[in-house]
Amino acid sequence: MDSFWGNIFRGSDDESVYALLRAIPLFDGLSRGELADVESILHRREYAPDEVLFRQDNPGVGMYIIREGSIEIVDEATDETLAELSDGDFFGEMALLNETPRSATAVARTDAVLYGLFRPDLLGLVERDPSLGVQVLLRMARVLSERLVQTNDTVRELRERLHRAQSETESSS
Amino acid sequence: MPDAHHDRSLTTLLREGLRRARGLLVLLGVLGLLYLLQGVAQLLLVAALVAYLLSPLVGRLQRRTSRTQATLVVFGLVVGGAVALGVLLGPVVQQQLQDAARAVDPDRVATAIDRVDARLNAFSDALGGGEVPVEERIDRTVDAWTSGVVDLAAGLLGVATNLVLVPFIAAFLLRDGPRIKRGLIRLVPNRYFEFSLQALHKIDVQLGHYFRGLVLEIAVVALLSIVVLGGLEVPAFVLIGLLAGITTVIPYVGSLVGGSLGVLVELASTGSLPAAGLVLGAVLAIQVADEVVIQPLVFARAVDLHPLEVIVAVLVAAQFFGVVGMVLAIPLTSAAKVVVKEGGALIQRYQFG
Repeated sequence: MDSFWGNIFRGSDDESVYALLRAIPLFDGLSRGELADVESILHRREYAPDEVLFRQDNPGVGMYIIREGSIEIVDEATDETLAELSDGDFFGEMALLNETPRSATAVARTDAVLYGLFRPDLLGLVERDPSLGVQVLLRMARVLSERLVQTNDTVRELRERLHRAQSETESSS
Repeated sequence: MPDAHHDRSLTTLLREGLRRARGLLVLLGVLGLLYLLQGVAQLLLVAALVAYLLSPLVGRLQRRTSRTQATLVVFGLVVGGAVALGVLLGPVVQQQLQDAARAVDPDRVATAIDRVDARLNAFSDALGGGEVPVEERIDRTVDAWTSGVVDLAAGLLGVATNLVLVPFIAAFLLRDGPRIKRGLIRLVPNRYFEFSLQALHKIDVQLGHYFRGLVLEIAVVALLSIVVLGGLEVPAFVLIGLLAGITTVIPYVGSLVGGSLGVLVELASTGSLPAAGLVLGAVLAIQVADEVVIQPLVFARAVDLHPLEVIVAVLVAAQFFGVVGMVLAIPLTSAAKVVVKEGGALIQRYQFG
């Protein structure tokens, strides 16, 4: 079926997926064979403008990589746009580790094509090929630790601002 | 701007509608095709089951080689294992069958049937009942079985074809299984995609445990039957034990159906009702052990169903859908429980839209 025609017409499409994956920190440095293993567990999804990818507080299942199109990440509580993501960006990777609720809603703003990597498939890959699984998980840990450092910096900055604001309030009163 | 937004909404709606219609048409087409080609559907089902059972092995091998090679290796091992088992057990079974054929004396069977007939009629007379036509009924049953076997011979060619086709289809399903699964998931509308993915994963895990449990149950019952029937010196005990193991897929009476052949063979070879009664008792004991100990242990752990749920599910399925229902009772109940439990919990946590 798919693989039959895939074997005949294999080529440019796969290459562009590999290029897309190589550009993502979770998969950089992986060999072509390892990338092929990762590609084999990706789900290609197409979205129309205004279509919701996932809603805030829904259980997280995995991450998405944008092949083409624009995705808006919205905080539904404040209706604030947290990020505008486009070709080559990825999001939702925390859901690969556990079933935490989505922290925001993702909406397609244009016609979009995305590749989804989901926890059940990643766990299957880890079980099937622990060496590759460890590599991906280590890279994920690196990405998350970098985000944690950024978050810590932001929290520190906000605390400093809060302290300054409190000091100003106390001195003015 | 409002016009542009309106146009975009219309386009989105139209695209969504077309996507749903396409999914529905594909689903209806597949169901219609399966209905029209029921024979092919059965073949596909058996092949899919074989592929499903072997899939974890291929997955484990895949880390060292390609999926195609892993599939070929696993199929090679399975076919090799089957041939080795045939080579090892074949002569034993053949010898046992020859011994059984020599031991079976038709006169003894006739005498035994006459004795049963006489005793039952005497018992019936004592109770004031009419004649019990045991002999006549046995004759009718034997006739029916014989004609059934003759009819079966015509279907053997089909069986031989299936024996070639099923592994062939299973090999392709095994190799391309993940791709086919992904292709099917692609048909799910975006709104239900993540939910479906999670639900399917949980069902997959549970059914995998169930089928592995079933294989374990067959092995345990077959081994137990071979040991017990061998201890009772029943002719052809290896073959009858294997048959009792295989028929255990039918809950409640499975191993009894297979093992009852042992009772007949014992009766035919010794002509002794007490000896046949002993074999019947042993077969009943194995059936009870299967129902009370083996099945609840294996399936309750594998499918996460309470033993009482297993029994109720099998009873209800048997009531409404007969033997087929009994065979499918556990996997369907398991799938239904997972869908209700996990799906219910997930639906409460999901917002669709």
